[in-house]
Amino acid sequence: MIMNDFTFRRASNSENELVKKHIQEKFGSKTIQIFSHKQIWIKEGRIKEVFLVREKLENILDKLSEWIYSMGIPIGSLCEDMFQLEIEGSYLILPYTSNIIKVKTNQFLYGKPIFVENVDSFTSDFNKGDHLIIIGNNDIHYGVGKAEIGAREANSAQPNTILVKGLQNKPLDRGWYLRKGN
Amino acid sequence: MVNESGDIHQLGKDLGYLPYMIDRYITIFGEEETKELLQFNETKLPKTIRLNSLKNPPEETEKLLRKKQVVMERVKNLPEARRIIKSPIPIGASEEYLNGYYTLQGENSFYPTQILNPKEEDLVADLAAAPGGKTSHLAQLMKNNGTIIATEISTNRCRSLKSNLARMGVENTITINMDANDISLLDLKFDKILLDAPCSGSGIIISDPSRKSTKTSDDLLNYHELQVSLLTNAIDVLKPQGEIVYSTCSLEPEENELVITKILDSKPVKIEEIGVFGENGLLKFQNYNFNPEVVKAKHLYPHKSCGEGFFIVKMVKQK
Repeated sequence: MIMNDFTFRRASNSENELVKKHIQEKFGSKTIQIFSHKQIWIKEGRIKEVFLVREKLENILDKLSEWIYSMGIPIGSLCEDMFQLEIEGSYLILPYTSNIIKVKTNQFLYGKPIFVENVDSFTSDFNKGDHLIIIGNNDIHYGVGKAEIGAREANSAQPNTILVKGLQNKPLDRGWYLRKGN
Repeated sequence: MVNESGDIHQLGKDLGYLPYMIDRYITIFGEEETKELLQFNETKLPKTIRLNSLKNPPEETEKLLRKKQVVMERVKNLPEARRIIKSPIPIGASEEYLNGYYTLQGENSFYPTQILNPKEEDLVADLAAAPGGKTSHLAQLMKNNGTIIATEISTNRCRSLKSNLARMGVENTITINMDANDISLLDLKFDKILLDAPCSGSGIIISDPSRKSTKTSDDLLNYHELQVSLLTNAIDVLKPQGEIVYSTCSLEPEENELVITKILDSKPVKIEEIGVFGENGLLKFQNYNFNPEVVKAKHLYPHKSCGEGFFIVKMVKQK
């Protein structure tokens, strides 16, 4: 019999607040809608995994918490009170945010940065360090990255200037599913 | 003069099969059909995808793929399936694939989930669930409602299960890293259970030729023991009138009819007819005589179904 090394539990009030506050601050207040009829659950560990779980699953979860490996949608991670939004979390907030960059090429899916010349359009006035959702042709989701320069600077930057980079610790582009997901 | 049987044994040897496999295929199919099976296993199956309505409306996904010059056709009896005729893009690595708009899935592997036919409110168990193709199909059929408990004994395979379910937008599933033999520890009673059991994989030689030579006849008996144990424990956690689908991708009667015969002798279950094409379960093989009810089970033999081989049986637990 295999017992879990990790414990699953409901997020504490402070963790709940931290995750929601982070997402709203970075991606706008409308993103709160992703939490409708959902609860945040935490998988303990050095880096805590954050899952969004349907309220309807809750009764059964209490009974199974010692056994669970994963459940619902993994939206990000918590480390030293910092929340990091991950691939599926960024997919969920896509309809509710304007922090979006549309790109002409798909190199971001290979863990590569996005250069100014490869940007098709962006829909908000972002600053350096802001988190941005990356989409491609047909508005298809690519992942989430961090702005290396602000929107104003981007408008006048050289074509080969890096506009968005993935995050160093964990690439957050959908190509991850092929590189590491299986 | 070399007789027909001699030719087949030579063919089997040339193609890399262990000799015992050829002997038993001749017993099941006869010589001509064994040759057809061996020849079919040397061909290449067309790729098939399952359009995933949990992530994107299927008609939208079809439009996106057609825009990229992917040519595909519908598959009879499988509304979510599209057979890929031609694709200029890598179909297992496209942006649509990475977004979970579809997944690659062998045509015959749609049937176990389709036959289980879970309802939106059901509590369903998917035992030995990784990598999660059938789990996400169950979730799709349930429209992400109800609850699926997906168990997987291997921690490594749990990782790919989690990742595939996330990519496919599955929200109604709890994955559990456990031996499915211990399922009773969860103290749950299920409406429906899918046991696509670990098996020798002789039905999927077309996709995994290593199976021609990696499993001995002793292995078949080891798998048999494991399968009987898994199925016994699964039936114990099924509600009365609950339904269980047992499937394998093996052609071997020890892993199929013999398992079901033992279960019918020891557990309060009845086999239900399933409306699927295919060959009926066998009544006899070598020294084994099987329970006459197993004719209601179906074999999808590779060379006859033009796909990967499957054995499928549906049972209902009696009060």
